[in-house]
Amino acid sequence: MLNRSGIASALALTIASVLWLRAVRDPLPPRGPDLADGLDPKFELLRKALPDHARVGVLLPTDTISSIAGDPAPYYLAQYGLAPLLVHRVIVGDCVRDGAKACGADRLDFLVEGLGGPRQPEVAGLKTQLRLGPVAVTEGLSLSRRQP
Amino acid sequence: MTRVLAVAAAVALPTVAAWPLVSGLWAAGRPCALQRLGKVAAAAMAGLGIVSLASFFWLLAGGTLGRSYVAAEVPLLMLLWLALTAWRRRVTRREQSQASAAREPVLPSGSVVWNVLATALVGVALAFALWRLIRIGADHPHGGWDAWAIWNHRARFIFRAGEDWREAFVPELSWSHVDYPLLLPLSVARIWAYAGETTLAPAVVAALFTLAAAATLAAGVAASAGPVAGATAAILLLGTPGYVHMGASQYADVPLGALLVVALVALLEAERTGFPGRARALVLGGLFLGFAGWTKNEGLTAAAIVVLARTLLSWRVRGLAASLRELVPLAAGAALPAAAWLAFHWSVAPPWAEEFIGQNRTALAQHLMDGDRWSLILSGVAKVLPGAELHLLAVAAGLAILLGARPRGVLRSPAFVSAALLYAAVVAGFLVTPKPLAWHLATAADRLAMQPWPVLLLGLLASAAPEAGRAARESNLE
Repeated sequence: MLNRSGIASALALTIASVLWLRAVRDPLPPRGPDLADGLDPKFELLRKALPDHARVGVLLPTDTISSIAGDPAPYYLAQYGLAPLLVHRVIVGDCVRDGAKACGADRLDFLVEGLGGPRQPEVAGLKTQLRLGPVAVTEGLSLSRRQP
Repeated sequence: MTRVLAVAAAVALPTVAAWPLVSGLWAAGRPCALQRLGKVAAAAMAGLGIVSLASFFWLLAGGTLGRSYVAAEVPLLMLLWLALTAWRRRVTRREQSQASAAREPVLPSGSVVWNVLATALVGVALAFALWRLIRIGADHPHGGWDAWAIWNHRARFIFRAGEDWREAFVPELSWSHVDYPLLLPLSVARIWAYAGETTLAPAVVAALFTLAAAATLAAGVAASAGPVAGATAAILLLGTPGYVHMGASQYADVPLGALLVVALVALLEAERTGFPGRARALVLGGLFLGFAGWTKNEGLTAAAIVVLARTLLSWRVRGLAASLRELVPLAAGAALPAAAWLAFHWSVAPPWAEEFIGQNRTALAQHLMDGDRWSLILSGVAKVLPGAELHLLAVAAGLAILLGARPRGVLRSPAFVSAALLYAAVVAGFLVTPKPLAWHLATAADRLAMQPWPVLLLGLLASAAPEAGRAARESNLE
């Protein structure tokens, strides 16, 4: 068994196993939910309150898609959580400055808030302007509907 | 529990149906345990690929991925199994009669002790990888960023939208790369058709590809160079820092690497002189290359590179006419995935890689002539080469030489040449990227560098030839 080829085999398996042992001692990623794991169950609750083909938007502080510096994760997660509804981005500052029609909020029936941290006074003003009333609330997120 | 069983059935059924397709691999001689394990892994990957095509054509025909799909798929898979089994029997009879005349080579199997030891070590490494996959999957059931932003997102849209599934590809969702092909999203969505929506489905698909890559790598190397080299390759892959984590993150890069390695394993099988069924192995290689293109856009480039590398090497040995003739079975194998890809881009999704193709030529030329850009890319990719911190590439090369590989043999291996060209393609991709380079390198280089890694290990270690194996092979070829 331990001729030249046997020694080579033993060495190869030993070296590979030692490297494997070193690599598998790498720490696992931190336990506990990350953003997706934390937010998705909340969106699941909101989704149940939404009718099929609802026109829904998410209130955001900045345009997270056009700017690579912005964090697109909250919007992406809203879209992931509420699929197959198409989720529109509503930039709060744009609405306050240019009006609900210019920022597209007037074409929506539902709005999700609580993501990405838009300033609360602006959000409150916009909600009044759009006549938004609460439909469902989960920890940190709320869904509002435009009143007729 | 019912849900777990339904997920298991959704994976097992296509695996069984695809079994006759891959069972002919390493049919000559007596396959060792690693080769048998590799066949099961290859069947599971082929099965998932096949049903992803079936579910796509079902959707195109107006169906939805619900109970009606399951009711249609189960008999379809049974029919497929029957047809493939009948075909396999016929082919086996023909190959056996040809083999008796051609004196098939005995494959290196090594001594019983080494065989058992190598198999046991691979078993331990696979079991540990499975434990890590379960642990990470339980903590992060939605996977990493790309998993929920792209792959599982698309699966949700297709599954939840029912007959409006095409809304998953509207321009408003272009940030989610709606031009990416559908092997992974449809693999997940069709499991949901069996079991209902559960995060278990993408986790199982991810785990399957992560483990199957190692199993087919071990089998492919073992077929060429014996079980010790096979085990060495698989252990190095499973011990590559970040490999299992990347698989558990449900990224598409690990499945793409898995499909490429099984394609190359089939192509290496076709290389064996005197082995009957060369065309069958080429068809299988073509099928897996087609699945690679049906998994990710980079898979198309990778498939083209593998075909180019193999054709050039074959041309050198067999001449131009023979190497071009061999493209026919390769193309036949890739035909169905290619048809799905074309139908997808023709009738569902926007043109592929538009951001790359539609670039300004002057800007492209500037990128190509920019020395600083080259330097940044080469150093950035070198830093994230798999296992760079453990010098795994040098270790793998050293172990291949220790086990009997010769540089000339490595340089003539389609797997090694393909892997080298695939890494060159990674560099080229960053050279022409329209995205901010530093950001693109930071977010994608490690994933892209993982794609060719199993193929590179195959190229290095399948070229090893332990003395016992080489002697056995030479005595049979005299």
